[in-house]
Amino acid sequence: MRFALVLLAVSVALPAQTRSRKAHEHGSAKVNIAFETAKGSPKGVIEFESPADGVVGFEYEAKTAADKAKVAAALNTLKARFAEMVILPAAAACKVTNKSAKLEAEHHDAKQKGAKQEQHSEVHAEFDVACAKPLSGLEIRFGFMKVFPKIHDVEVALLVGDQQASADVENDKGVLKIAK
Amino acid sequence: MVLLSLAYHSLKNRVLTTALTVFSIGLSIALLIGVENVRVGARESFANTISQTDLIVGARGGSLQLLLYSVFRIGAATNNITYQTYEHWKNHPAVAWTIPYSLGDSHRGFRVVGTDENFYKHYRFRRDRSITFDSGRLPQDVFEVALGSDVAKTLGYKTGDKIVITHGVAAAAGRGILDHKDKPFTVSGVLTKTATPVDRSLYIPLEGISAVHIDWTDGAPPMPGEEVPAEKITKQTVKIDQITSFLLRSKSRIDTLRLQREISTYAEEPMQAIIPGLTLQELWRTIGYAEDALTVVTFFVIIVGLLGMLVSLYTSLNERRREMAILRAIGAGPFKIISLLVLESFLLSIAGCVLGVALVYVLSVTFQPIVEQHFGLYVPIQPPTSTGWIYLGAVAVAGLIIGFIPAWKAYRNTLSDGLSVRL
Repeated sequence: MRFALVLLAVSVALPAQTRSRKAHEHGSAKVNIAFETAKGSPKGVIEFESPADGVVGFEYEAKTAADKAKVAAALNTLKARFAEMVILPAAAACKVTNKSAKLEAEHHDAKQKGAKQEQHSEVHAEFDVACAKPLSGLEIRFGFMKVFPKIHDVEVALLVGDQQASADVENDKGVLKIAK
Repeated sequence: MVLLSLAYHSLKNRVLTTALTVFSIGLSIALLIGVENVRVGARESFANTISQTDLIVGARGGSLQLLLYSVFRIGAATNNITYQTYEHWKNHPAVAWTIPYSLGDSHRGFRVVGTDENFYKHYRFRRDRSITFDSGRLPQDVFEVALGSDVAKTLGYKTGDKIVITHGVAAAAGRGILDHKDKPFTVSGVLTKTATPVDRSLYIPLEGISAVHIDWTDGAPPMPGEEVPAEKITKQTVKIDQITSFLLRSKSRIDTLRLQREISTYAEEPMQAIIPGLTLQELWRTIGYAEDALTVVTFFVIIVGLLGMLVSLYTSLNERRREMAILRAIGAGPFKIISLLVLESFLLSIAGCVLGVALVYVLSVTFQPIVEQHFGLYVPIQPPTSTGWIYLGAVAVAGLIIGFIPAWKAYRNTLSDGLSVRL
């Protein structure tokens, strides 16, 4: 019975796969920080994900030159000022070695006849980080609102060695401590 | 020293009131420290159950449900994933190892877990401890089973015993949907105690789970005469179709994030990959509100206990007017009278703290096995946490401060009593 039910459940769930949508909440963002280890000279990666509204200010497709310029400027600001948003401990002397940021659009079909097609877009950015000194026992702080005032609720995940921690950073308040 | 002796003898003189006051403070302290110990113990117990696992992967659904069902064997069952999908991720270049789990069957109320040799090789708990055997070895044949230490202890099994697993989850033998009586398992070994839910499960090869259902059709057992005898089933003849979930260790922590994203967007099957430490934090955040409410209630209980002490000291003052007047007459100054009452109050609260901590230990020793048996939670018996010490200190100081109220009253009494003609 269990097997039959499971097969049924899987077969029912399969078609939903292609229509599933990611969570999209304006004002929020997600940051993942991963370092292989906190000792020695740690190397890691930081990922940033946010609805485009928080970074660019709108989510429709940029067609005019002015809108395209706005998108480019916002992404450049994100790349240039990311160190102010995720403030790695100064004592570890970390540097961003590689950065990338892009805008991804997600089209949703109109549910009713005559309705406009709904569009969401998201900003994805990735930063490679190399630190000169250990991160053990140090703290990571945040300053998203100073750069993008609309981003006030950020879910931060931290993986360092075997440490798995998270923080809900609201209005830039919140600290993540790296284990010793 | 004289003051201490006076306070001690004065309290001793009113032994019943003193004992009741100390008992009421002790009970409230036991509640406060007990709640704190259970909170910290439960968190440690959960966190220590799984170590060095980067991701838990299963069918798409609730992340908490996947964690609780796969690792702690509690809560509602999750959907299964195909074995084909499992093999895809197992062979992914960024994956160091995987441990598959197939759940759904049981034996006399204990969960049966289908897994492979990777469980014995790679599973870690309490940071870096691995699975070891008290006796015997890991299951190699399709119909062999390794027992968690609690299972072996509770049911009195040893290596070589034959057991029958039950289809579905049943509280006791015979109460399940159906017993797989035609395909008994032989105990190949008993695991060393881990003080985690590992102790409360039975471990059979993945092929074993498929083997007991090999002759089933549409979720129903075979008709008489259509059974496939256990002797004809080998690892090679059994095909594994699906598993419940799997634990995954990536080659680097940076890969963990990428793997999580890849798995969550896997086009072939709707899946989710959760980071156990983060999901546990999500769980603590969820139940944090209930914990806060409980702490507030225990604080009120402490306040009631301290107020009881105040009432007891305050009402005793009338009976002690002569005692105070004599003390004043033989030269005790106002400071001495105040100090005596404050010291009595302080001693009562300290005695209450000591009794409370002792009660916590007695209750912990008594109920630890019961809590572990029924809830799968191992609450360690340990000294009060740093927060617990702060609570104890706060109660002692509160007792000291509260002592000033009857002390002031006693001082005022001695003044008027000393001037009055009749006592």
